[in-house]
This record gives sequence, structure tokens and C-alpha cells, in this order.
Amino acid sequence: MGKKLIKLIGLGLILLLVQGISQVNAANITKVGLVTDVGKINDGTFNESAYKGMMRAVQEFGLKSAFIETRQPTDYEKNIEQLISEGYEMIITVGFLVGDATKKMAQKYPNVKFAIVDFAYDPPVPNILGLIFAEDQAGFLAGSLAGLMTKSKIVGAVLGMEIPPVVRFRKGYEAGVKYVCPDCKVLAVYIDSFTDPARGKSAALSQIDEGADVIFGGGGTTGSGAILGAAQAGVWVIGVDQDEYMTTFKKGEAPGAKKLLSSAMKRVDNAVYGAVKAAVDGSFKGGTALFNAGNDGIGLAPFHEAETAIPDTVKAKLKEIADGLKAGKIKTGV
Amino acid sequence: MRGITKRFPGVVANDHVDFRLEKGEIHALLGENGSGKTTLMNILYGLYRPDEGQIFLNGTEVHLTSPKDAIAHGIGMVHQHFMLVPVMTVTENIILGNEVTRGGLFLDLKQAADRIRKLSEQYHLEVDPQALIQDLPVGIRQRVEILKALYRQSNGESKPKSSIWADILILDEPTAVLTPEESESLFRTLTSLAQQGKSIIFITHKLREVFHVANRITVLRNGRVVGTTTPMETTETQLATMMVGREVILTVEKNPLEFREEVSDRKPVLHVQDLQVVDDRGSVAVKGVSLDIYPGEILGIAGVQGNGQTELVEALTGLRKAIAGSIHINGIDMTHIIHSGYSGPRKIMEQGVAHIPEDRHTYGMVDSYPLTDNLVLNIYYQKPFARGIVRNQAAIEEHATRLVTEFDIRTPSIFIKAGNLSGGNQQKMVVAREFSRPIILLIAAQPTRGLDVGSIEFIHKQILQKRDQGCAVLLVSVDLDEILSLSDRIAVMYRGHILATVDAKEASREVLGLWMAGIK
Amino acid sequence: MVPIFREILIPILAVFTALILGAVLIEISGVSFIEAYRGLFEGMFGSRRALIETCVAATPYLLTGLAVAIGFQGGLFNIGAEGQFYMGALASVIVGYTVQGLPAWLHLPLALVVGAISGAVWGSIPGLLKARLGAHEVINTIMMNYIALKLVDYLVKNVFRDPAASMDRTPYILPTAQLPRMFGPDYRLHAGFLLALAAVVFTHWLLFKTTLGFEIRTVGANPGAARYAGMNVAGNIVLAMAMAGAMAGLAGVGEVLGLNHTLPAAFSAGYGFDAIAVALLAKSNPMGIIPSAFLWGGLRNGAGLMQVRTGISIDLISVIQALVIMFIAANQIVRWIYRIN
Repeated sequence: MGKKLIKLIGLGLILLLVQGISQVNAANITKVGLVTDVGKINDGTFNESAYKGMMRAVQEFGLKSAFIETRQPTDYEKNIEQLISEGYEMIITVGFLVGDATKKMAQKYPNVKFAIVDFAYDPPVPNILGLIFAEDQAGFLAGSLAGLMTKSKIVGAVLGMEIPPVVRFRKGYEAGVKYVCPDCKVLAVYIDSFTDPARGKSAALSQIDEGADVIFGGGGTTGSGAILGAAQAGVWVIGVDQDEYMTTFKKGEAPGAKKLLSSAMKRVDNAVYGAVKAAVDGSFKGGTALFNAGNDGIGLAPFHEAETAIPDTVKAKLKEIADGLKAGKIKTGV
Repeated sequence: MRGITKRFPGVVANDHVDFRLEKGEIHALLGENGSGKTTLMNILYGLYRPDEGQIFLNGTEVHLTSPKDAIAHGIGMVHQHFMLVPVMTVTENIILGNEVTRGGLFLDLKQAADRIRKLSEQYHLEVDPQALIQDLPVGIRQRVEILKALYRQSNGESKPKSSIWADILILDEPTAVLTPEESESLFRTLTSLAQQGKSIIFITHKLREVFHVANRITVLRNGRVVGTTTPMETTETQLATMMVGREVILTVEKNPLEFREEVSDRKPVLHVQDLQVVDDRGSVAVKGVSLDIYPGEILGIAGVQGNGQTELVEALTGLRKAIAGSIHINGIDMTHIIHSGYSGPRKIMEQGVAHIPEDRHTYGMVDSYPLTDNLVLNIYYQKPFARGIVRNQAAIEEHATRLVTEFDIRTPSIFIKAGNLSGGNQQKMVVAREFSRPIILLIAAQPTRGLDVGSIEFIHKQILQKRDQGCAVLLVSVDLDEILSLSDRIAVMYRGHILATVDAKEASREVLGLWMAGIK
Repeated sequence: MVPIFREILIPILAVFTALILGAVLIEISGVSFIEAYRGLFEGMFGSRRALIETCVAATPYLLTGLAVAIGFQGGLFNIGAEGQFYMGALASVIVGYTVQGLPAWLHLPLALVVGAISGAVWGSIPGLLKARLGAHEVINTIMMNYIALKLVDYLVKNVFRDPAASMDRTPYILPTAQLPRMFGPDYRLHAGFLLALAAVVFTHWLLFKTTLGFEIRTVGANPGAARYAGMNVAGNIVLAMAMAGAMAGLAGVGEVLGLNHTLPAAFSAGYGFDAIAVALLAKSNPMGIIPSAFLWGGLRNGAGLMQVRTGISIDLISVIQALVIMFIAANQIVRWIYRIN
């Protein structure tokens, strides 16, 4: 009798245990972590944007989250592994430069799901979702805005490191300027860092000295430094990645906020949110997701304080261009 | 000061010291290096607090907690190492910390300069208030230091001063850096200050000076007062015995030159012909010097500091490039070496030349190294101290242990950093190293400057011993007594030339003094 | 024993005090410092992997720390370890992927030696400028850093770029040039770690047991006395800088041959600058570099887990490191706090 009872209880326990395990499997992920590119979680551009997207999903689905701010490029792999060793089942990596490390870790840990911002793998890796953006289209819109607003017919661009997404921003920007103002001149410079506001600022100021009256800043805090400095020097500026009015210009509290025309937004937050959501509901698949004008993955941010300063004709023209890009009638040529 | 005791980790610097200073007197505080003179005065100046004992000024007990406190009570101090800012003017240096201002903000330099001029007239301390310190010779800089102390005192007088006012001036080894004439001038100043009511404490270890200026003398040894006396009641020998604690021979016993007669057909160990050397500023400091030194003789070079002796010695030892002239050491032509400027010191040393440099801190030693390393500083690469490139620590330590005993270097251990030794022991260390290898020529520049009596006696003996062993010696010194007591022949250097050479037996202090001033 | 204890007392107290101040900062930012430090220390040595990763992170600090310490011993302030690091890395990666057909026992040493020489040459240039022209090494090593940085950046992007790679980097080095991994492919610790430890011991021996080291130290402590002693002052300055450069170069070599197996253009290491702090903490003593480098590497390695657990900014680690250096430089503060003289 006693023996039987024990057997029964033991059987029950085993059943419970099996049940528990299958439930974990069914629930997909409960912990999601993020590894930044070299830079901070509150950089006001793409690291922050990705983090916000992740956190939206984390709150919505009741997940546990963590992040590591990378200080050295040699630490990418180590940081990813650190999160995995703490039991994180999905890893978001931010930026083109983390591409190699993400792939290596994804192959080493095939059960962990990865999503990477700004990188696509060819051939695709089964457990990585690459989130890429039509930066050329976002840049094209920014360039059109700059070309329509310039008086001096000289516009500037301060960009981060010369990596493909940044190059696409630049080429799109140049094409956009030429599209609305064929005889305008574009001054553009790459700076080999995403985290150097001081150098961004000095580059912007020297472009102003060269006659530029609209500056586009594209590249982490380097670009933010550029537009902040330029706005305070009194010229029009255009931000990048997310609505920099809310971040770099602190919702209008930072001096120069009224000189921010708009921002060429990449909805990194939406993309990351979507990736985490897919991992939660079980629809996650490796591959590449492209975000462009067609699916509202890119676009211009609101004009905020510049609203009144931008003529209606300019706004109409921008709308026309945005629609053209959406419908595929306008090509950026990139 | 009564029953003053001050302990530092491991030593009792002052052990129940009683010290009395009368108004208007010059009181010499005499003692060897490390006997506690400076500590005692630093206590009086408020730099240290005594562990025991009391200080009375004009009969009232005072507690001096800082130099500011001491200055407020009329105590001024001139330190051994001057505390002046070289790029500032005399006036600026003097008023530093006591600035006279207009409206609390703007310096009133003119008023300050006037007061300084008045002070310098009152006490016969001539100095240009507008001159930059860096342009002034050492003797004048010292005057500035004295003026600074006096200025602060006069400053105190004009303010509502402390009820206890002492008017004391402390001078810590003021003559250590001075030439004989500068010292003379200082003594006149001190006498005049005392006559005008200042009380002066004069720290020194030079016996002759004491007899020159002091009214009373207190001798310290190992932190204790040995006795207080007056110049009338004592002799140099007695004082020296009090200082050192044993009998000291002040006048060196010198064997006569045995081979005087044969000198002519002996070969000189050092033969210098028409040597010309430039100084750091590029002007010619040695203007064609020729000299010969024979085995077993000491050639003394007398002269006021800065007449080319430094450059001469540096050229002879390979430290400075010569621009013209020739040198033979023991008959070997070393001219190319002193002209090239590279690896000179080693090639010359390897000929059997020893060099006691004029400033041991610039050339002679490495403060941060232990005695062991300093004692092989220039022979570290030779056997047995190195096999190939590997140093032989055992041999180095054995060498150090032997020399420490042989040359009476007072140190708790051979591993003590040389910079922590007293000046006398540092110099003994340099001498020990240079004498520890076989040498035929010794070049000694100011070998006893700033040292205590005991060390001077020891080093003089060592030099004479080398001479008696047949070593040729070139002795360069600004101390005329040293030159007179050691040399066999004496040359006087003036403005880069050798003005005259005489046999030491025929030389007199007066004649040499005239030559040193360029009068012949 | 007692004097050694006295020597290391101040650094230990400096680290201790910095950690306490760090704890206060963590509490102010609203996180439990116990939890944060538990994350930090577990990340440093709480597990086999953590300990191994700390060794990985300490490796370049050991070598660049030596590079700065050798300079200090020779009376030179070598701020150029960063540039020397880059030149070593560059040379070794070129040898690592271009030289084909050599067996590992020849290829690997070749890559190591060429990398070290490259760093040595880079270091000896400011040494020569100082020895011959009296040009200050601080200015020139800083300038040489910029030149090295830009040169490597240009060469990797344009001349040695791997055309197949998506980002700017050189091709991967051949397996024959790789420093073997000490605990299998799963752990990143490579033989460069042992090499670095050997370099520490070698440097200690050279500086304190040979005539060469005696000359370097004498020139550093008192150039006048060195000249008096017949030493070649100019030659020893160049020698010290070349040795320092070789060490920093080897640090770069280790990162390439042991860790990354390639040299990316965006390779901003910073090891050469941190090395100044490592050497200061070690009081320029080669043996002192070992604990010092482990502390720096450990803090850097443990920061990740600390952030995962508590979300605290990794900049806190930089603050703690800065405090350590401040307490070393102004050691009067530490002496005053702990009443030691």
C-alpha cells in the first residue's frame, strides 16, 4: 500500500515536471537582452531607439530584460555570451559592426534567437532576423527638405563611420538635395566614430563656415553633436534615426530646438518591437526584414517648433516626394 | 628654550635641549650634520612642535604652532635652501605672502620697493629691488632672503604686534653656498644687525666662522647640548673635539715630497696643453689652460667659483667637449676622446682616473639607488660585478660591505637609499667608490664642500694617502684653507686662465687672495 | 617582507577606497551596491568562464602596462603604447595571412617577432628624437599615436581589406599563425597570456638583474650620473623606448593572433592609454603589473555582468578606475584617511 502510494506520488511528480517543461517550450521566450554597439543606451539615436522598442515589448508581454553597453569592439562576443550565460533566450544586437559577432554567437547557440539592427546575412542564418532599413529613402527625404530650405544653396551632412547604412544615408541625402535643387552643393563628411559629439560639432561648424545653412547629422552622438552645435550656431538642422526633438533637443528644452526642421527616422523601435513580439508569439523566423517608405519603416519626424517656419509649398512638395517613394515612382538611385 | 625634546621615528633629534639667546648677540649653533641643529631651529620657527619642553620669549612662555605664529612674534628664518621664485623680482619675492595692496586688490609694488630700499640702507644690505632673482649671484640671493625676514619683522612692527616681540633672526648654514668674500660680507651684515638690536642664531659646522662672528657658541652632538662657551674661552681644536666627540686633527699631517728633485725627469701623469672649453651658455670658460701633474703630488687649483674650474674638470673627465687643446694621461694621447664628447668618461676612467665631482647630486650618485648600486655606479659592468650582462648581486653586496667599513660610511644597512644618507656619508660613499679601484690620477672637485669636520678630516686623510701611494692629484677647491693644507703646488685660476702657479711652501694666504681677485 | 608590504599598502588602500566611493555612487543611483558588486565580482572571477575571461582581458594590459613601466624606469613618459599596439597588430596580421605554406612552428613565431619589431621601431622613433634632438617624448609619442591610428585605418580600409567581408577588416590569419587556445575552442584564453606573463618576468630580470637594465634605470634616475658612469645616455633612451614599443606591439599581436584573428578598421583599443593607469598603480614595477593588469582586466570583464544584473552604467567602472589613479597620484589623501605615514 505504502509502496503503491509512493509510486503514485512519484508518477504524479514526473507528470507535473513533464508538463512544466512542455509549458516552458510553448511559452517561447521570457527573457530578452540587448547588446549595444560601442555607445550608450541613451545615445539619443539608434541604440536608444532599439532599446525603446525592446522595452515596449518587454512591458507588453511581461518579459525580463537586461542590456550591456559595449565599450570595445572586441567585447561584442563576450557581451552576447554574458547575456546567454545568464539565461537570456533572445538577444538584440544593435548595429552593422556587431554583424560578425552576432553570426558567430548565433551559430554557437542555435537555440537562442537573435535580432540585429542594420545587418542582413546572405545566406540567412536560421536563428537571426536581420532588421534593415531603406536609409537611402530616409536620407532622400532629409535631402529634399534641406534642398527646399536652403538659401545659400549649400547644405551640409555630418556622418558617422563609413559603413553601408551610413553610406546609404549619405547617397540618399545627396540624391534628395539634387532632386529638388539641381544646382545645390552638398558638403558631406564621415567621422570615424559614432560617439564623438565634439568632433561632430566642429565638423558642422566648419561646414557652416563654408556657407552651409542646413546641416544633416547622421551617426550616433557624433551626428547629434553636429546638429546641436549647428542649431545653436543658428542654421537649420535635420536629425536622424529617431525624432531628435525628443532626445537630443530634450523635448525643446535644449537651446537651438527651434532650428530642428525634422529627423530622418528609421523606426528601429518598431522593428525591434516586431522582432520580440514574433519571438513571444512563436512566429519568429530567421531571415531579413526590410523597412522602407512602403511599410512606414522610415519617414520624416514631425516639424515641431519649425512648423510655422516651413512654407506650405515645401510641405506639399515633401508629401509628394514621400508618396512617390512609397509608390515606387521615385527612385533614390542607390 | 628649555628641555626641548623631539623624536622622529627611530631617532631622538633633540634630547632635552636647553638653549638661551641674549638680546643683541650672535649666537653660533655648532654641530655635525645630523646633530639636531636644524630640528631645534625648526621648532623655534614653528615648523615642528616639540614633544617635550617649553619656549620662552622675553620671559613669557609661548606656543609656536606655525611659521606664521613665529613671524608674528618677531622670529625670522633664512633657510639653507633659498625659497625664492627665480622669475620674480626681488621686491615681489620679499612681499610674497605679505603683499601690500591698494584697495585690497592691487599690489602696491612701489610702496613695497621703497620700504625694501629703506631696510637695505638701514642694514647695509645693498640690493636692487627691481632685479630678477635668476640674474643674481648666490650671495645676493641670500641678502634677499635676509631682507625678506627683516621685512616681515618690520611689517609686524607696523601692525598691532603681538605683546611678546623677540626680534630674532635664524640663519641655517648661511655660508655653505657662499664664496669667501661673500661670507665676509655676510659677517659684516650680521655684526651690524646685532648692533642694531637684533638677536641672531647662526647655524654652522665651520669652526673658523664661529671665531669670526659669534659672541657665544653652543655645541650640539647627537641631539644633546655638549656645552656653551665663548670664542675667548676656547680653541678650534677644543670645539672640534666637542662636536665630534673625540680628538680631531685639524691641520693635516703631510709627508714631504720625497722625489722633489727627480721631478724633472719624471713623466707627468696628466699633461694638458692649451685646453679650451665652452660653458653651457656657449662662451669660452677655459681659455687655454696648460698644466702637468706628476705622480705623488697634489696640484691645487684655487680660485673664486665660476672662473672656469667646473668646465676644466668636466673636460678633463670627459663630461664636457673641449674645443681645442690636447690631453695626455700617463703618456697616452686622450685628445680625440675629450674632443668627441661621446663615451669620454668611461675611456678616461679606464685609464685609471678617479673623479670626485663637484656636485655629487648632479653626477656622483643616484639618490634613489641603494648604497650597493652607488658603490659600483661606474664599474658595474666590470668583473666581478657582472658576468656578461648579468649582474652579480653577491659580489656587489660584498664590495659594498667592505667599503662601508673601510671608509667609515655610517649607515644602518648597505641597502639604504643613498639619498637618505647625510651629506658627509654621501661624499664618503663617492670617495670610497672612486678609491676602490687602482688609480693613477685623482681629480677631486670641491671634495669637502658643505661637510662636517669629521668627514672633512677623513676625506683629507684619504686624499693624502693616495698621494703618498704615488697617485697624482688634481684638487680644485674654492676653500683656500683646503688648498693650502693639502697641495704641493698651487695654481690660481682667474677668468679661464691659470694666473700663476707656486710651490705650496712659498704660498701665502694673502698673495693667493690677491691672485684670486685677478690682481698680480 | 615588511618593506614589500609597505610598498603595496598604498595601492591596495587606493583600490579599497575607490570601491567604497563607488558603492556610495551606486547607492545614490538607486541600486543596491551589494547586488552590483556581486555582479561585478562574479563577472570577474565567479565562474570558470569569468576567471578565464578576466585573464583574456588582462593579457593586453600586462604587456601595454609593461610598455609604460619600462618607459618610466628609463625616465620616459611613454604615452605612445596605443600606437605601438596598433603597429604590432598590423604587422602581425599581415604576416599572419599573407605568408603561406609555413608550418605553425615557424609561422607563429615569425608573426610574433615581426609584430614585436614593428612596435619596437614605432617606439624607438620618439626615443631617437629625444636622444638626438631633445624633442620631448610626450609630444612625440602622442603624435605617433595619431599617425599609427590613421595609418592602420587607411591600410585596413584600402590596402589589406578583405574583399569578401561585409565590414572593413583584413582577411583572417591562417591557422598556422594563430596562438593556440589554452582551454579549447569554447574559451577565448590563448597562449598570448602565458607569453605576457613571461614578458613580465623577463622585463623584471632585465631591469633589475642585468647591466642593461641598470643602465636604463640609471639614465632614468639621474642622466648626469649615467654620463659620469660612462653610460651611453642617448643609446639607452632609444633602447628603453624600443623595448617598451616591443611590449606594446606584442599586446597588439596577442589580440590579433590569439583573439580576433583579424584586424578590423574600427579597432579602437584604448589599451595603450589604460596602460598608463596600470603602470601607475604598479608603481612602474614589472611584478606589480601583474595584479594591476588583473584588476583592470577584471573590472572591464566584470562590468558586463554587473550591468546585466542591475542595469547600472558601465561608466561606473571608469569612475572607480579614475578614483584609484587619483588616490595613487595624490597618495597623501590615502595616508590621511588611514593615518599612515
